[in-house]
Amino acid sequence: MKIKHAAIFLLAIFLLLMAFSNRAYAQATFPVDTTKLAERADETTTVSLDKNMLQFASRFLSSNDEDREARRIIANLDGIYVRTFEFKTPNAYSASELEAFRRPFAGPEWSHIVSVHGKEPNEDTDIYMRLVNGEVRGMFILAAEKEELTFVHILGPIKPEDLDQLSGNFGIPKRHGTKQQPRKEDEL
Amino acid sequence: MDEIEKALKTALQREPAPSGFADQVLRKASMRSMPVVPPVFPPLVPWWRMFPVRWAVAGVVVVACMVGGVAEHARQQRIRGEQARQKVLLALRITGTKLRQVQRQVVQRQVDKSDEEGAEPR
Repeated sequence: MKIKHAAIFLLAIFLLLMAFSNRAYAQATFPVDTTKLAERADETTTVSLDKNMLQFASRFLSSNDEDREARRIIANLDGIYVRTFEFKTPNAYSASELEAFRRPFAGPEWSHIVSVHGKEPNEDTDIYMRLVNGEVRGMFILAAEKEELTFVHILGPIKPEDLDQLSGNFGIPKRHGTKQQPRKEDEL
Repeated sequence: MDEIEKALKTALQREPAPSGFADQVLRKASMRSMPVVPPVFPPLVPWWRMFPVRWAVAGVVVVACMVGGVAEHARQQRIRGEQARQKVLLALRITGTKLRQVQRQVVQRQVDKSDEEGAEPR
C-alpha cells in the first residue's frame, strides 16, 4: 500500500515538473502572454518554428530566389515565433496592455533600438534586440495598429537588414482561418 | 407328409461353420485383390500449395508492404515539409513587412521634421 502511495506521489511530482517545464519552455520561446488577446481577437495567425522545424523546412525550400533567401536567413536561427491578432473593432486593446507587453524587454539583455509612436493612439512599433557580447542574438517586434497587433520573436543571430529585403517578396496567402487583407505596404 | 417335413427340417437346419472358415475366406479375398499399378503421372499439387511459391508470395507481400510504408512516410514528410516551408515564408513575410513599416514611419518622421524646420524661418 505504501509503495502504491509513493508511486502516485512520484507520478504527481513528475506531472507537475512536466507542466512547469512546458510553461517555462513556452515562456522562453515567446516572452509575452497573449492568451487574453487571442480570446478577444477575431482572427489569429500563429507561427511557431523551433530550430528543428526550421532545419526541416529548409530542406523543402526550393532553389528560387525567395526560397534561397529564406534558407540563408533561417540557417543560423534558433526559432521564429509570430503572433498576429486582428480585431474587427478598433482599439480593442488598451495602452496599459501594450505597456505590459513591453515590460519583459526592460531588462539589461534587451536593447530598445526603435520606438515609433504614431499620431493616432495604438499606432506604435517597437523593436528590441537581444545583444550577447555585442552580437545580435534575438529580436522582438511589437507592432500595434488600430485593428491589428503583431508580435514577432526571432531567436538566434539575425540581421534586421536581411529581413527588410524580404518584405513584399512573398505572395503567400495567410494561414487557414485568417483573412487576406491588402496591406498598405503591398499596395505601394 | 410327415416324412417330407422331417427330411426338409433335417436338410435346412442350421449348422455352425467349420473352424477356420472366416480366416480362409479372408485369406482368399486378399489373394484376389488387384495389384497396385504405379501412376503414369505424379499427382498434381495446386501451384499455391507448392513450397517455394508460398515463400515467394509471402516475400512479395512483405516487400510490397515495406515499399508502401516507405512511400507513405515519404509522402507525409513531403506534406509536413511543405507546410513548414509555408510557415517559414509566412513568418518572414510578416516580419519583413513590419520592419519595412517601421522604416517607412521613421523616414516619414524625418521628412515631417525637416519640413517643419524648413518652414520655421519664414
